[in-house]
Amino acid sequence: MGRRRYSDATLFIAYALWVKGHTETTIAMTLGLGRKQVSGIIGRSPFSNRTAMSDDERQDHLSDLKAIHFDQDAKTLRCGGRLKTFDWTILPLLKDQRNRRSKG
Amino acid sequence: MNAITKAFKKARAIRLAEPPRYGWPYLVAKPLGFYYRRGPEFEQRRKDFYTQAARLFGFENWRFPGPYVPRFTEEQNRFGGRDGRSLDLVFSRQKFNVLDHNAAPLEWLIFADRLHDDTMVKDIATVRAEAGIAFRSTIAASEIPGLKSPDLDRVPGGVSGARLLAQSKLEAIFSIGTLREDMPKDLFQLLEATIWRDEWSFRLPDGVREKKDTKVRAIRIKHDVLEQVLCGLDCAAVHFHVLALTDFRDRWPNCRFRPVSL
Repeated sequence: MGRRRYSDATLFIAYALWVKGHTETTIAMTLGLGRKQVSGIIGRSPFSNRTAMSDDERQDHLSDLKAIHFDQDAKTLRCGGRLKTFDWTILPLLKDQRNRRSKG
Repeated sequence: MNAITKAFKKARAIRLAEPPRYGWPYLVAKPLGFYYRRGPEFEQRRKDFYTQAARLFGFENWRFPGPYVPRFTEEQNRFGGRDGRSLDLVFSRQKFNVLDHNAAPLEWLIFADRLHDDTMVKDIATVRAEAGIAFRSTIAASEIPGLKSPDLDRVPGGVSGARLLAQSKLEAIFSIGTLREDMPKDLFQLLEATIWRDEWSFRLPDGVREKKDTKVRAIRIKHDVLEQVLCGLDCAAVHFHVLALTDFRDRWPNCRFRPVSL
């Protein structure tokens, strides 16, 4: 029983949706995974601390993800084609998504 | 660390390494004056020349300078040089003192506590006020009265001959001349305009209040010009021996004020 290896497309879609501002539950429904699985993917990613980012920083991360959307070596889309009509602009975080200890 | 995060970190490193492609010098449209401008006096002469040529030869689509239209009516501006500002009076009960904060720029600077500076000596506000008042009174003393027509009906035979200039007037003339040579030209002109001619160089017009208008309007200050005025006041303070030159140099290291007499 080794650890399950997710495909690159799953990881890419999970990261993009998370950085954009969607919740873990939404991402899980999108990918057909459980919420705890998505939580594990995000917790091991560099975007785990989303609440500490500013909006500009989050938009920069999303733009970087957009920059690697097309894999030039493999000549394919990393998302597997599911994010072709994706809007690469962030959404504002809701009240319960933000860090409650922060002042804003 | 999977393939996605590796590619992401590489892309991020590339983005942070290359300089931004916006702002100067990439996408800035420079005005034409950037390429041929040769100073304000020359540009004024060039403008006058083209205006005369337009009048003479009838250029098409040429906008001539319009007539001077005063911004405030005479009734609104009945207190001279106020740009429409009303009286701002303070009455004290014990004495019969009346202070008008809007009387002149120097008075406003003093009463609104704009002369203070934490980084300088303790009494710098008093020093600057003294310097401004001394500057104004010295210029007033150095003014020569206008021409008078000779009294042709005068009965000759009096004892009055050629009059002598007063010593105080001569001293004032030499003092102001020395200060004018020591200070940078634009700085002296700004100081003279602000303190002697009472021009509100550092403060935008407040606008005219209508009747029954009790709304308090915000005071709009040009802070860079105000800083230059304070620098000029410090120059005058050094000139009138109320401020040490070392204190001046500490506060304004880049000012081109070179007092010859000190």
